[in-house]
Amino acid sequence: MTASAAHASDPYLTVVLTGRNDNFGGDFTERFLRALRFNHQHLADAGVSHEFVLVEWSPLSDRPFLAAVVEDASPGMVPEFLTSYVVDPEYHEAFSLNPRLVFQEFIAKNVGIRRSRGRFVLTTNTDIFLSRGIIERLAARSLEERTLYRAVRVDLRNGLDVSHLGWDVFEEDGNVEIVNEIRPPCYTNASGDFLLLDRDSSHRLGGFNEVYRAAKIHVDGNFCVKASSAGLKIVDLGSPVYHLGQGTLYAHHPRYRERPELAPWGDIRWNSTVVYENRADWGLAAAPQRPVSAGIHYLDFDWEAVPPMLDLRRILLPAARTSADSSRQSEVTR
Amino acid sequence: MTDTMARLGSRVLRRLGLERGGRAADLHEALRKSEQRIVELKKLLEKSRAESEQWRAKLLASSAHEQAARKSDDEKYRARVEKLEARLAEQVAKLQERDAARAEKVGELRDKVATADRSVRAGRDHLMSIEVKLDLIEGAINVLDRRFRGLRSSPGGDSR
Repeated sequence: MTASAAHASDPYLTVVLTGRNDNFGGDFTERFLRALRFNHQHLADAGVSHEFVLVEWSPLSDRPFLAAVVEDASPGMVPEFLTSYVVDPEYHEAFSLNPRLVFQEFIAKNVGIRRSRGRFVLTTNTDIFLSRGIIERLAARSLEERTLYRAVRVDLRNGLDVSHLGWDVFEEDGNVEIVNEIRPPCYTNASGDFLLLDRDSSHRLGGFNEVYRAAKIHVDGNFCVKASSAGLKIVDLGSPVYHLGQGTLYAHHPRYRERPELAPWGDIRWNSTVVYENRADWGLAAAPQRPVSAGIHYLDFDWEAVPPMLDLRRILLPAARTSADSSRQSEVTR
Repeated sequence: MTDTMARLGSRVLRRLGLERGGRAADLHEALRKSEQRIVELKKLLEKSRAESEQWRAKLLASSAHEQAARKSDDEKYRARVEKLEARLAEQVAKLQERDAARAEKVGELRDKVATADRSVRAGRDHLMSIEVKLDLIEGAINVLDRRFRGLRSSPGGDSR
């Protein structure tokens, strides 16, 4: 299928990504573009109609938007395959319940989920490569609704030749550093890198937790807990996603072992098995939106779009699931 | 010459089926002894037969007695076994009754444990949600504190 045929007004898949032009991790933009091109190429080749939604959270005032950088670096992608939403930095301050958090990744992802058009929505990270098996599964269009699909993240060793990245390299055993195993019932490990769910269910769940904003770590796993509590099936897709290196959290985690409350991702000890109920306008639904250029939109600040600082009634207890539910949820689909 | 003549005479007589007078008396005596021996042996045989019949009769009598005794023992043991079985059945019934009562108690206890477990879990969940809410309150207070300090430190106009 040609690239244009893979584009559709109502695509099968929306891939939600977040970032900003801050060179996070050292070579953020290069890593992002590499994975974006790889995934786009393979999705297009397999005939999977898709779109990418990039949410640029809290852009830096002294640098061009990441959305503009990507547009320049990827001709032909914007606006057909990539739509960007740049979120006014004031939202970050307004949402903050922990000054150490400089990037509210999951609220940004909610902005993208809320605006996705695909029948299925994949929330992932900018440097994640989809595997052959995942592309094949998407191409088969055999995904089921009310099912949260998870995938194992395989961390590849540092120092691979990034100019010739392909599945042959990813699938080579000698290139694998760590396999981040996932386990039932909720398959939470490294879930921020792969959460695939139909859009209707994503919207019914109301996205990631916007009530608890004191940490961003484990908010992805918290979403799995909410999905499970809501009766959704959670299954391992059976094919991995790939990541070059072991990630920034892995690299920086030892630094905050003694004082976890000081970590830039929030205190890892927060009890992420609670369930939440976001407001109806989650994902900055009420934020005024204006076009910057074709495929790039800016969300202007408005207090009306910001939830109250505290809304404690929206923290709920998870529904108890029976062991039968758990075993049903632990089915592995191939 | 005389011996030779005597031996020849005896041989001729034997050919003719006759014996000399001395030899005939010997043979007669041997025959009599043999007949006497036969009589004795017959008597012995009769005696042995009689004894054998006696033993057989004794044996039969003894076997019948033994059978009767065994039958009696069997009945005695059967009665005892039946008694024991009855007692055992009684004990089993009692044990089953006790077991049922215990099972009922265990069921009740299990229900109580399950209820307690649910309560503990619910309590833990509530505690967890309170902890999360406290985290949020702490976070909000810190943010408000920062904002307030920011307001206080920034030069503001006199509102009077």
